[in-house]
Amino acid sequence: MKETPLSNCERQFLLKAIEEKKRLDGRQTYDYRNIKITFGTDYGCCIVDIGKTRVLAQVSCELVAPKDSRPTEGILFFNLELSSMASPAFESNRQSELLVKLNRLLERCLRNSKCIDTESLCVVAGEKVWQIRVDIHVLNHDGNIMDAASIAAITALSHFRRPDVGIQGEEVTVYALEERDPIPLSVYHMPICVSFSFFQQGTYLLVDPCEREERVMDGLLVIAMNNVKITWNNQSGAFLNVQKTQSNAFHVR
Amino acid sequence: MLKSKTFLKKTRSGRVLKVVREHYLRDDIWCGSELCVECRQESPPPPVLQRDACRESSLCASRHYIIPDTNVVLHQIDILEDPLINNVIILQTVLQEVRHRSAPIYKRIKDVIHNASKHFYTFTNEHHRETFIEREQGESANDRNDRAIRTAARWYSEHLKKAPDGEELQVILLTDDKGNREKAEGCGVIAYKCEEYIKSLIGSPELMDRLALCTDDANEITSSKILFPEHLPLSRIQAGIKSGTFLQGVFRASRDNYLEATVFVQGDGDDGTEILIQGLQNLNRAVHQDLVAVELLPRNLWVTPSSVVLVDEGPKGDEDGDGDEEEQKMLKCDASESMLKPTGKIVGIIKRNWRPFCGMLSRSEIKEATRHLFTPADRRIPRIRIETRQASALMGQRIMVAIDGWPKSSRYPNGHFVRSLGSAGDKETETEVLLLEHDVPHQPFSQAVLSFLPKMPWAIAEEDMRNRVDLRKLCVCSVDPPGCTDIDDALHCRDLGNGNLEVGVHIADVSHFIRPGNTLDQEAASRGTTVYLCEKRIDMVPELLSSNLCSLRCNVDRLAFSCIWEMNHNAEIISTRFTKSVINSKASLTYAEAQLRIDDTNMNDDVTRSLRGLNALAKILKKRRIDKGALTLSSPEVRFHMDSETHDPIDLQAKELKETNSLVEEFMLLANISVAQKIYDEFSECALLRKHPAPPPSNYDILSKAAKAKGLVIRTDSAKALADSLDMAQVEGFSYFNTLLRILGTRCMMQAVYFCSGMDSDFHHYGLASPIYTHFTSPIRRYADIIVHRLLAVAIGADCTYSDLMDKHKQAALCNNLNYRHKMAQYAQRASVAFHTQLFFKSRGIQNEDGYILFVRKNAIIVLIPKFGLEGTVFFENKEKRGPRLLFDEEVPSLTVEGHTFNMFDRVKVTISLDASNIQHQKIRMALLEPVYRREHVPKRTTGGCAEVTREVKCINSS
Repeated sequence: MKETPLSNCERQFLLKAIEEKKRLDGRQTYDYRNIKITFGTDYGCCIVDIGKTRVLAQVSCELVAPKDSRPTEGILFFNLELSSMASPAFESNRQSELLVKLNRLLERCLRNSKCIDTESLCVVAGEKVWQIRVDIHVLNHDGNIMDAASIAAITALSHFRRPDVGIQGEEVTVYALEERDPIPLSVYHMPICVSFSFFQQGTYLLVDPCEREERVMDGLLVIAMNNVKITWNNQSGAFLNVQKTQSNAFHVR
Repeated sequence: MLKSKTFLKKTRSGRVLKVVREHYLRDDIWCGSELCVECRQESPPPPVLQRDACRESSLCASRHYIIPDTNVVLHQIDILEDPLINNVIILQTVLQEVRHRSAPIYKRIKDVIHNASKHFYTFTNEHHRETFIEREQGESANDRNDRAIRTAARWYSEHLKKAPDGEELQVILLTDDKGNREKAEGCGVIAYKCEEYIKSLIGSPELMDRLALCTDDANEITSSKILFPEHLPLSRIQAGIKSGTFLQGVFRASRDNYLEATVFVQGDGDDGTEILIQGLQNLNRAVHQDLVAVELLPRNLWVTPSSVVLVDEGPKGDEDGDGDEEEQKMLKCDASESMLKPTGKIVGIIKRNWRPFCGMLSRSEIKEATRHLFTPADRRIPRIRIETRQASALMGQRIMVAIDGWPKSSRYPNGHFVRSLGSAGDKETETEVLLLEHDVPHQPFSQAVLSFLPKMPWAIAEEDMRNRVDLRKLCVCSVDPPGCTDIDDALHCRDLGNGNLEVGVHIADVSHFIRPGNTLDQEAASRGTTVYLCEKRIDMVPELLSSNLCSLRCNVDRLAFSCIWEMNHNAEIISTRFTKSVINSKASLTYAEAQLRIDDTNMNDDVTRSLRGLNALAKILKKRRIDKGALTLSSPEVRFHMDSETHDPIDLQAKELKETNSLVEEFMLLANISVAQKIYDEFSECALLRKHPAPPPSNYDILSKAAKAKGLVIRTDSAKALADSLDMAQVEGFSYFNTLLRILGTRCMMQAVYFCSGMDSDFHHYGLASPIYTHFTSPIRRYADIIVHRLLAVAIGADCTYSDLMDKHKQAALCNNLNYRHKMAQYAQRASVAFHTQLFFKSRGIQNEDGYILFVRKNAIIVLIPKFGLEGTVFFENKEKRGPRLLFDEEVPSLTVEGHTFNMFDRVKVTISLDASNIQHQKIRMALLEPVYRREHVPKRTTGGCAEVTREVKCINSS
């Protein structure tokens, strides 16, 4: 189903409100919506709510052959899905621009930041490594999917336990969860994304935009940061892009 | 951009990858010479190559620059490092090849380049428009590189000719490759052999000595040099073993010498032979504990084990075999024919026994490299090369690494990072390391195991009382060390009124809770024993059982297995009875408390009277046992006083033994012997017993020699004779001598082992002088006792049997595991003590202590410091500098160092300090203070020749 268009009237109302430092849900400019993290019964399962946005992450693992270029490293795989359950505008099984961008951002935030030690996921060099797969499902869309997804992914990864592996000689044994306590991943740091949206050619800035706000924004800046105080701008030069008005689009570059 | 190379590559997962490589060339790369005016830039760095590049050579009279090729750099780095050699052009091609082939040499050449006074210039010929060449069709990478070197050399000579007064400046290519030299001369480049050139240098004959012997022109670049012989395929090994040409055995690397190992070949029954393996080639990539096939060498190649201590260290690359060869020479020593041991070489590996190893990363000297060497904590394991991108994060941490393989072209095995254990030196990390290194299973109990625990709150149920006697009214008490929570034994003694006494030993009924075959039982069987470390206990069974339901605490009803004797006052047994029971202990005492009660004449309660009765009987039992020839040996045991807050050791004391210790011990021995007899009578084929074999007479050699030196005779023909002669061995004014002898005596002993009665005929327990023995009294912390409990329960009809219990082969396999776990637990315990000793000395600083020489080795003495029970090795020589003159006499044994003779039991004085320079192998460092020996080549008498005394106290303790 196609997204219901936003009427000019509503757009103007929203922009006017932002100009007057008012937001639809009564928040201030830098107020974040309440975040709730719920864990499932399984290892590596969690649901993150940011306001009405709801994201579910489930981590799973399997033994696969490593990449040729990195024979001693495990593989981290992220898969974010936008189903029509989240919003009627989303179509399942379709590679929308938004989906690609979100997946790419997630990878940059969590894989490229090396927050998970992939070297310890090696079982037999060049033959068997653990592939850690993070599946993220957006259950409800009320803006700021990126922040919710990043929180859900890193929490689920920290919560996850993989089966213990014993090596004796050239024999490898994978122990069932009951046989031996499973092993947590080694998480070096926890990067979390914070999104800022820009309005009126960058004159106004709001943190944690909701769905309505996202539809009238000019640009988006996502900053991933961690508690080790290493900050890196996820979108280098985002500011420059923001100055150039592009209607209602994410600025990834 | 000159070149863009695009190629397609198929990845392992089947996808096709397009790789684009772009190579950029420039024409503003400076040649680096002072002479040149042509390629000067606006603000050039000061020129590197001098105008007067003068070295007098008979080959070329004029000034000249040198361009060495890759092999010259690799082999003649010593020469290049000499201050005499300067004005050298190192081509980028050469540098890249060197880096690829040998990290240490790369590091050295880089250092030379950075040294401004050497005038070494790196010319980036690969990015220079005129010197870059493309690889031609059918040309190998090596040939292309050689050509690149020649091209660059030619460019230089032509380039410099253009400069004013560049005419007389020559560029010389140094190469040992004949073909290369000819081709170079063909295109007008002056090329010499390295040797030729060095010889021609006037006024520096000493350089000739440094010239590395290069075989000849055939020496070409091969990055995959074969270092080891090929392993035979399994089929040929099996055929060889069948025909007797090969022998199969377990490979045991030497702890002290990385070039030496033995292979233990299991013979018939218990005995086996050891085959000595010496040298890297013969060791042929076998790793400690592998199952290997060996081929014996002809008798004329047999050697003796060297008593040299050799540690594989220093930055060695793949190809660097020189150091090894030198060390291999050290092994050679002439020895009498009789000392020769069967020597062999490894021909193949039957089964690898690799496990993940703990250790630390030794970072590669190249900063951005991803391949690093890992040094395992266990010195019997070779260093392992791993690939990691987080080397800087892993420095200073204890990490775990698994081996993946050992190709025959590699000096070290290849492995991968498993996980990080924490920073080195931390108490938790080190404890984890020593548990892992001793293969002590210490992960928390799994859900499957915990599911077999009884539900809480637990109470004795009706059906538990079947086949059980109610002994709750008896005045039972337990005596244990302070702080003990797993109380598995309790005692009672009462007057029967008929002039006899009733003595009972009550043991926790663990087999009631652990039913055969379930996961809990399997886990306990695999753990085999509880491991006690200085500040931690690794339980064999979950805590609910060990510290609560099975622990015979006072004033609660507990299930027990009781062994009750009727005895007269002479401690002669009139009758023995075994029964499952319920008891209610009246008091949980410590040894000290029990002793106070016995000694305090004012106390006359039931518990105290019971203890006194037991004490009187125990004394008689002990005397009788010693008369029969039980040994009292000694080992220096220490106890730490821990700070209650930080858990750091604050004091160290030798363990003290009280009368009550031996009280408990005597009754436990008695119970064990009684039970052993009972289960053997009942099940002659599958009783689990414990034996202590008499050591072979040769084990006593060291003891006899030591005693003979002091003019004493130790008789070793029987345990009784040994015990008596040890009692007699006294030296006037040397009270510690007897203890030293007993310590030494302990080292002569064999290990006591569990065995299945159906699989063996010799049951004798040598140390206790008992014809039969088993373990019955500590089922909470030993699995053997659980099996014995089950056997006894079946024997008295209190429990039913199961098939595995009656299968002697299964039981023999179980015994093997238990023996292994016990041994490892013991080592882990010692390592824990050693680590805490280190912590103690860290806080104490440097100390001077008296010690005694315990052993004398070829290049070292081993010193024992009785006050701390600390043992350390004193080396008198090391690899770097020539040590003092040593004379080793194996017969006495004695070691003469510069005129001073060290004998066993000599008193020495040493200073002890902690050497933390190597975090992984922190050492207790000792230096000999007295006696002082003098070195001849030290002209002035300094503070006295201090021998470096080191002792590695980390994970693994020898013996």
